[in-house]
Amino acid sequence: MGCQSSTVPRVNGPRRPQVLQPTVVSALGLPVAVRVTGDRAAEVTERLAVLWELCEPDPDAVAVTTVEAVFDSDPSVCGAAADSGLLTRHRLDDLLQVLTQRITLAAIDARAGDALMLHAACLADPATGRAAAFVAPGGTGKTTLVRTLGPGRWYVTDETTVVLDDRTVVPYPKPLSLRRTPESLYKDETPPTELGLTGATGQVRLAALCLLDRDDTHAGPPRVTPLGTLDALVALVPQTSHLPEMGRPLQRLAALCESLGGVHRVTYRESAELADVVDGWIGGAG
Amino acid sequence: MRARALPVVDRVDRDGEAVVLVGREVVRLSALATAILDGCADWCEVEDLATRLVAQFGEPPADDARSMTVAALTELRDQGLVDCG
Repeated sequence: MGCQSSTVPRVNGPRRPQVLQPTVVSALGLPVAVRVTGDRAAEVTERLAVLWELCEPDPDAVAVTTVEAVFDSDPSVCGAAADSGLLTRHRLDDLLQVLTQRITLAAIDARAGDALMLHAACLADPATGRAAAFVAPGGTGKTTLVRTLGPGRWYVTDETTVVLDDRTVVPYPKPLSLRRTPESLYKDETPPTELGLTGATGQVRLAALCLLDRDDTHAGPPRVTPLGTLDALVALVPQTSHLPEMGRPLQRLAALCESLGGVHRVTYRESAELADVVDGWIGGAG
Repeated sequence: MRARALPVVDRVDRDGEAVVLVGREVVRLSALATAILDGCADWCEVEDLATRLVAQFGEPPADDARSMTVAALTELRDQGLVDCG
């Protein structure tokens, strides 16, 4: 059990609204509260505790932002909630998926201007804390790479990599959103440990930054192409969040790229083929 | 015609070329575009700018320097990098 959650005992009788304490998770290093109402709210908070097992906030953490949702067996309650702009779904799985997105977005907004946020998966070597970040748009291989290469390494995130100026990475080992079927538009939230992943237990420091270029037509071993600083900036900026809100954003990003010895584009077909490349950057999986 | 570079969020220069952040958009600038922006930090007549570009890069292979400078300025204006008056 990872995140904080407590339940006020249910009142006997049909369809009494549940009054639950918000669940608090650590997202991008910030405590984010998730307040769920409705007569099925307890189902959500119970699953949140499992799914967000690696995102436990400090015990005395005070939430900096709150995500609100409604989960109720009465469709009219959900409809009214939706009409008033609240997050709600009829299916628990669907609500949990959207909640993950909302938690991430809330944390990203709360960190605006505060740190570099890259749309990137990140894995680290448990022996050294050296980390590699894999930048890619959504749906182009980050989660698959984490599932494939994450066991034996520290799972830092599959979504947003926060990098401080000293290259410290703030872990965000959120639940993984896995497609219900390969072609499905719907995803199921999955606890990291269910996939053999473990969170970081020490400091994580960025050692490599690459752009993932998954290509179903690529043949042979992965192709690793170094990018000049300017080309790297052009490729990376669209995969950042709230970059203009930072002071001297391009110069800081350029300094990061150059301090890492440059950025590489990695063209590959199957993420398992990247194992040697990742080993070369941060060390082999234990 | 005259032109003036507009402020950007940030800029990085390497080897005579540059990348700028305009609002939330990133723009890669060639050496020529970088020289144009640097050449019109304040309002500048296009003829003066063209003369400076010819001195730096030589005569253009086709078209005349003024026309090429105007074309480049138009492109930079469309990207929100210069003001033309």
